[in-house]
Amino acid sequence: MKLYAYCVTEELPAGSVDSMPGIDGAQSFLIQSGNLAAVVSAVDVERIDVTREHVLGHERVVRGLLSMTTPLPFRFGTVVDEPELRSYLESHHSSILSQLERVRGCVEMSVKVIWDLERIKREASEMEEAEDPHGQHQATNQSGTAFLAAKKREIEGASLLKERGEAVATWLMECLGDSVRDAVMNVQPSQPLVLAAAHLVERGQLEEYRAALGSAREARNELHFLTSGPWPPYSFTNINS
Amino acid sequence: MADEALELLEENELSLLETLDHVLNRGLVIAGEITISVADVDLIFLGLNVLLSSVESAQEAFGKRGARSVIDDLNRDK
Amino acid sequence: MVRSKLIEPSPEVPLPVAPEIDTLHAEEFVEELRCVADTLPPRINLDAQSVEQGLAKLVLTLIEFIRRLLEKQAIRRMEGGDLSPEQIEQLGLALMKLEEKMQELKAQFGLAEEELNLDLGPIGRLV
Repeated sequence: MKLYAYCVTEELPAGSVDSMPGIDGAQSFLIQSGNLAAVVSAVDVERIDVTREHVLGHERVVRGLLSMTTPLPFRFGTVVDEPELRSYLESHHSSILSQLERVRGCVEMSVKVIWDLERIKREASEMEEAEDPHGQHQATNQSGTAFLAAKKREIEGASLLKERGEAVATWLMECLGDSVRDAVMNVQPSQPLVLAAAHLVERGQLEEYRAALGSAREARNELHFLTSGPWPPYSFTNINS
Repeated sequence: MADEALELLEENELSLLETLDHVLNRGLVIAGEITISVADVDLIFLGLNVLLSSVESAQEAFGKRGARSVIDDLNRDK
Repeated sequence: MVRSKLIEPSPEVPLPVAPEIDTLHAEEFVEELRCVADTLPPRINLDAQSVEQGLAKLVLTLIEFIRRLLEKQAIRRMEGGDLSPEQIEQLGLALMKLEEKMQELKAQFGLAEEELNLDLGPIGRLV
């Protein structure tokens, strides 16, 4: 029998997950190993397709655990057999414990930011022209020299954009201050969706976090925000290590 | 009424997309992952696995239409 | 004991059954997140057949990385002023051809620009 693995938690009272149907409606149950427990359900396939039902099934179980404790989610699609799972839990015991320690009492909150990429690009190129009024703006790309000059502008533009993008991330971090225990930020300056940030927030700090985020949103009208959460700590779960 | 229905759909889709983004992107891994470590620091993991997985098997896993199919599923249900 | 470790959800702040989503620009985010969803990696294990195509991607990624490094270095040398105009021209032409060749190879293997990258985990992305 194969098992689909949802998450690892500190040991749980037997029967804690009895009422949680998992992937394909299968009954989920616990595999206890020392002071750790893995939440699994039976599957009869080796590979779980990425479908809406499966993804939501995974999320439903992990989220169910979130109301009791803070679980470490497995990567979606983790199918194992029981000995494999037990040996994983034993061999990674200390690393899992320290990761559980890191997220204990917390939830993950998410902030995504869209900026006006076209405007930022325009501003960036204006700044460059001001800096370099005699810039080699040859129209032709035929010669090697012109190619290099064009590359130079391209690279400079990209790095200016990168600075701007990172400034958004830093600004947001400063706004949130102590309400955040840890953060994972993904800055993509060449995209409209410039920032995807995940914040690890203690449950008791959620009000403070939301208030700080609220004022941050109001302060920057030109940025478009999407906030979501609470999530299980998907972004604060390290692979192996 | 029509507007409300549209809004609801958008809300559902947004929520599904956010869930996809969170669920599919991260998590603990048991097997099938390559990790290159230097001095006990894991340098290359997830990315390399993705890198080595072929376009074919990607299509297989996503049912030929990419993750988009998950969204289409949602829309079809409405 | 065991139970004391569990977080009892405080009755004043019960966790919602679903994540709360808050935005004034739902449409924009739907569009952007669709693009993200389209590039989400599949979760599958290695098998022999996938390695060949994957290898092409790995090799092209590394060549692309080196190509960009060369470009940056060439620009630095050009600005350093120790190259003659002829040398700059030759350098530029060579890099231009390299870029064209890379475009061809990418097209041949059906790889998009943004696919030629490596996630280096904690230290970010390669390119």
